[in-house]
Parts: sequence; structure tokens; C-alpha cells
Amino acid sequence: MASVKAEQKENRMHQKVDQKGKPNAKPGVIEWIVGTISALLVLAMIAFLLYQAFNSKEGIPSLVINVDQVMSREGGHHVEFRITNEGDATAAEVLVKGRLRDGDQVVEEREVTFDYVPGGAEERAALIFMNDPAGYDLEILPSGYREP
Amino acid sequence: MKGSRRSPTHQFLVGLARGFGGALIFALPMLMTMEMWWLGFYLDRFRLALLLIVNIPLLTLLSHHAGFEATFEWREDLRDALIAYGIGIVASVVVLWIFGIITSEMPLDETIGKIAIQSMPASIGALLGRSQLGGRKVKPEKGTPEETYASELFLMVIGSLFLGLNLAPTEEMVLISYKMTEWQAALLILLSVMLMHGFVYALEFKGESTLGPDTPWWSAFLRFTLAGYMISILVSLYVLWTFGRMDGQAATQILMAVVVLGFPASLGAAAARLIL
Repeated sequence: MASVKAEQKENRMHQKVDQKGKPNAKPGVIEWIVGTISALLVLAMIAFLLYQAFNSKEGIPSLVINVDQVMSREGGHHVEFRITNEGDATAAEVLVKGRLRDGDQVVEEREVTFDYVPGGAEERAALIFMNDPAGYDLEILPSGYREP
Repeated sequence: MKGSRRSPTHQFLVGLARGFGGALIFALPMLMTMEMWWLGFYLDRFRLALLLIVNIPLLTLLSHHAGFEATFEWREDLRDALIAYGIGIVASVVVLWIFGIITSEMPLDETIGKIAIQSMPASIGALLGRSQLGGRKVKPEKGTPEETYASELFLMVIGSLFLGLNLAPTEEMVLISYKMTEWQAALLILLSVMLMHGFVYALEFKGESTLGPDTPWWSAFLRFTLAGYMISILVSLYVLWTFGRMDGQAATQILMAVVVLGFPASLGAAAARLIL
């Protein structure tokens, strides 16, 4: 059995030798190039992750909200905003509330939930108010989050 | 009776049936995943179009590998690829409609998006089904060493797509990367590479590999295991980008999600020769 296999292998080798004038056993230059590049990339990935592992601080999410623009449409005023997580940890189910105030009185309150705001990421959303935010004080604040 | 069995029309119909079978085996996990339906309507249209275009050369090359003979006839391979694409689309339409996922009241944009995203995995399945269920085997090309190597790597791409596409659309891919620490991600890279190397060796024992018996372990490790791992990482990166899973994310999160998806994708790449 083994000898048959060996014979087949030998035949294949002979074929290669006949076709190309050199045996197939020697891997081509291209194989070494691809292999070396891959090895370097894998090492770079591991190095990057370990660097992050040593340098990431005790993780709590740090959520910052920036209002982009107010688009007035039929049926409401869309306040478009971005929420940025400047911390390392990911926040899940982030509840963001927006209020329109007239002095001490809250005229209108709206909320939206983000499934995830990962560490270092930026997500976009909008709150829809019935009253025009231009006439009131607008505040948008994250109310809370869950660990994923 | 015997004569009609061998008629070209009959053979073609049998091939079509095998194609449908393959499309279902390959794509049912995705057809029955709700994230895939949602992706169909919110996925960036440019990325969806790119995925559909990339699929054509991919299928053509795969068709070449699944063919009877080593004769490289581009037109035939392209024809088989387009037939498989057609089978994939029809199979997706039928299954999505039976499930009530696409209805006639839906906007055309949504319906087409849902079908388009499913047609890619389904068409790969259709092509594999036509050859595998017909008793043929997808195997690397016997040519110059460079051609053989390139074709081994190509089969790894298909293998990593096989497992990667099944898992990539789920929310769990991203969720797992949120739950992991960077340490665990680095360990997962090592685990993936070790398991891959196990498969590379297993193939060597089966005598199917192009590796010679006197190849030192580090040579196979560098040329096949690590190269294969990078292929599955690149496939994961492309699939996650296509599905919009990394938009607005920080570099660390992207890398971790890619490593998480790279785990099944690398196993698919390493086992490609066994499962294809």
C-alpha cells in the first residue's frame, strides 16, 4: 500500500520535472513572500492588541453629545445629533433624553435608545420635537447605559 | 430509457436540481437569519452592488476549480458561474417569498435588496452543489507551482466565506468583540492559527496536500497556515465592511470584531479542502 503511494508520488514528481524542468518540492518565491507578509501582519495584530491591553485604562464609557442640525419637517422638528464615546468601554442600551425648556418649565421631552455605543465610536440619531427648538432652551443628555 | 438519461437536456436539468440543492444547503442559515433581511434594506447600496459584482469573478474562478478537466475555457466557466448566480437568485426569491419575508406590497428597493444580499451565498452554494452533489470534487489546479499555490489560497477564500458569511450578519459577532478584552482577542488569534495548522497537518496525512513529505513544519506553517489566516482575516474585514458593522468604530473595536469573525473564517479556510 505504502509502496503504491510512494510510486504515485514519484510519478507525480516526474511529471512535474518533465513539465517544468524542476521538481515541485521547492516552494516558489511567491510562497515565501506571501507567507512572510502574513506572518508580519499577524504579529502586528497581536502587538497592537497587546499595546491596547496595556494602555487601556479602567474602562467606563464617556459619552459626549453634539447637536448637528435641526431639520423642520411636516410632523416635527428633527434634532440630529452625534453621540461619541470617548472612553474605552462599550456602553449598551444608551438612553438619551432631550428636553425643551422655557425657563424652569419643561415644555417637551423626547428620548431615543442606542443599542451600542462602543468605546471610541460615534453614532448618529435624531430626536423629534413638536415645538420648534429655536424658541426654547434645548438640552440633550445621556441618562444611562448598561454594560454589554 | 437509457438513451434519454444521457441526453444533454436531462444532464442539464439534473445539474440545475443539484444547484438548487447546493444553494439551499449553503444559504438556508442566512435565509433564516433576520439580520440578513434587515441588511437587505439598510445596507449601503454601493457596497451591496460591489458585493454582487465581486461575486462574478469569484464564481467564475470557483467554476474553473469545480470543472471536469483542467482545460481552462473562460467562456464556459463564466457561463456556469452565471447559471449558478441565476439559481441562487431564484432559490432566494422562492424561499424568502414562502417565508413571507418578501411580499408584493413591499417597495421594490427593499425586495431587491433582500434578494440581492442572499443571492451571493446562494450562488456559491449552487455552484458547489452542481459539482459536489455530482460526485466531483473542488480541487486545486495542477499547474506551475505558482498556479497551484494561488489556487490553494483561492480555495481558502471560498472556505472562509463558507463559514464567515454564515456568522457575519449576526449581532453576536460585534457583541462578542465588546465582551472580550484585548488579551482574549490576542489569545484568539493564537488559537485560530494553532487550529488552522492542525487542519493543514491533517490534510498532509490524508495525502491530499501539495506539501512534500520532507517539508519542515515551519515551512508549511508560514506558507499555508499564516497565509491562510491572513486570507480569512481579509475576508472577515471585507464582509464586516460590506455589512456596515464597522462604520464609526474605533480601530481596536474593528480589529477585535475581525479577529472574532476570523475564528470561524479561518477554520473554514483550513478545512476548505475537507468540506468543499
